[in-house]
Amino acid sequence: MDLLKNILTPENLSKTISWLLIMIIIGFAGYTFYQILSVVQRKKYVLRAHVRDSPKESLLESLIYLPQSKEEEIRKKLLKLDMSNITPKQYLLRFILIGIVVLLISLLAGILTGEYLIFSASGLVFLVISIVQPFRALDSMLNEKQLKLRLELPEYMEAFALMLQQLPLYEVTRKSIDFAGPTLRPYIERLLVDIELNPGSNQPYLRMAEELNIPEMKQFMVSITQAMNVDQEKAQQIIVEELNAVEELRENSFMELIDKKGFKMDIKNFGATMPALLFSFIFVLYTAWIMYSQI
Amino acid sequence: MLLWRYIPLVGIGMLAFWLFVQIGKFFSRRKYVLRNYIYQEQDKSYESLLSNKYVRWAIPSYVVREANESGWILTYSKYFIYVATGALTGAVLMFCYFRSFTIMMIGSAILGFAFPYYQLQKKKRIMRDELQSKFIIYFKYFASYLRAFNFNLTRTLTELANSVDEPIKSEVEKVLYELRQGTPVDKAFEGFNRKFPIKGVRLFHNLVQVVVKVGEDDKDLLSNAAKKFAKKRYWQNKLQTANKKYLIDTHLIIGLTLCFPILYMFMSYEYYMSFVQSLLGRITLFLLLIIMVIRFINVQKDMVYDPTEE
Repeated sequence: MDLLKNILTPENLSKTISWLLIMIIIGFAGYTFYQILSVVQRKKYVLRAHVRDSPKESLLESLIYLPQSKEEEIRKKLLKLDMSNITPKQYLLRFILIGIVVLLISLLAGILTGEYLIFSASGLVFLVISIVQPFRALDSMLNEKQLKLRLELPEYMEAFALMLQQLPLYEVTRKSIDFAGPTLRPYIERLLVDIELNPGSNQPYLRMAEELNIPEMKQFMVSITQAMNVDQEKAQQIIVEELNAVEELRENSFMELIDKKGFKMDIKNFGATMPALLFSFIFVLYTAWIMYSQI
Repeated sequence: MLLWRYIPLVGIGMLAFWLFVQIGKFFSRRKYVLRNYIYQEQDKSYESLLSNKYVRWAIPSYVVREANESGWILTYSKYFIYVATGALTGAVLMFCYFRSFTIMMIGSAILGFAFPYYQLQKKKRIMRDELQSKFIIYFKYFASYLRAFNFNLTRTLTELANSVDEPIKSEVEKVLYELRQGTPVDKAFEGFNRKFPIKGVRLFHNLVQVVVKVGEDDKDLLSNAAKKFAKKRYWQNKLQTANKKYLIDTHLIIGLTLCFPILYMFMSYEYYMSFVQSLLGRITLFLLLIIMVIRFINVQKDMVYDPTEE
């Protein structure tokens, strides 16, 4: 009991409360910064320059150890996300550098205040997160892109099929780029270049469907290219069937979007209740601090 | 001496300055370099203000022009009535929170200019929804008239101009004028497509060109395109109704959060006063307000989210 009494003196309590206050304020500022970033950040998928000299590995990059298979995996994913202008090691470095900067700042704060343990521990936790996070971020970005493609495809496929009933295939492909959304557009641009290089061949269409990796698009492209080889009545039948299949794809992807969106909004709303709780917590701690310091 | 204690402080200050510069670079990254050459002769500063997303909501001429272009008749006197309403509520709120006249004035000015812009966005959302349903009617009329008048585009458009509603009607008349001037069909609809950048509209007009050129529509291309457009709108509506539930939730959370400081003011007036006038309290309240504003803007954006348009 004596020990407890020694620890729970007003001075000690007011000291811990003041430290808690500072920690909460820093967390609060970080949360605000994250919110601002989420508003500003915007992704764009632009066709990057494909031909570029492979840059030499810098000193910082050579410090990171990455197995060959893992590096290849990350490179493939970056290529799919149109981020092939940076190497896998550069991608990882971006995250790790932030972690190191935070660690340094927290260490500095520790030296400044004399409370080494709290600050260095929090900095280390942040560093570990920054090492693990990039792998997860890649996967979630890929998933998001796949859903976006599935949402943009129905409109494109509809326009394609409708125009194909009266126009030749090449002209339809050339006109169809107006109906491709921002995510799909680079693929269609690549397809147009491919067609110029292989005139009169079906292969570019199938290759693009392969690249997109969406089963509905594959089926669509195979049917469309087959429809070019049969007589007009049968071709018409095939196109009408494909239009019905497109409707199914749209329904599925919209349902998925609605579910995902709801889940995301739930999480965000939960996050939005935190500031009120934090505010009252800070206020109560502040009053307690004033009361103790008056004693 | 205690001088060594200040060395880390200087380090932190330098780091903070570096971060500040990085953030500034992030915001002011130039994207369209070519445009600077094109608009060199015009008044650059005003143009760049209007194209800046973070500034233009506070410029009266921009908001009034946008409102009138989208079909909401807004005069300057009406605009400033909105500003006064927003500023008044902002002043009351800010004075309750901060108990400082300078902060009250800045906050009420920001809220005052934000209020008409918010109204504009709300009106725009309603107009956009109405426009989509007007387009469905337009497509249906177009398809049936074109067949009835034996694929004569000029007669069809003359008849259409009498039977569709306003924002579309004037554009149809423009197309008709261009056709009578002798513009080819491929280019006559270009202005129309640019005025309403909706993919369904562009597709429909492309199909119209093809059908008119061929002179028959035995595969029901036009009515099929109209049906597809309506189907897409159906799913878009479904997405918005699903979002509406979360919109109400978020508004409730924001309102309750903004009430918290006032609640504490009534509970313990003296402590609240000393809290609010300290630096700690001001920073906390400021962060609270910023997060709520960002959440509000994000939710408004989610309501007009269309996954297929840019």
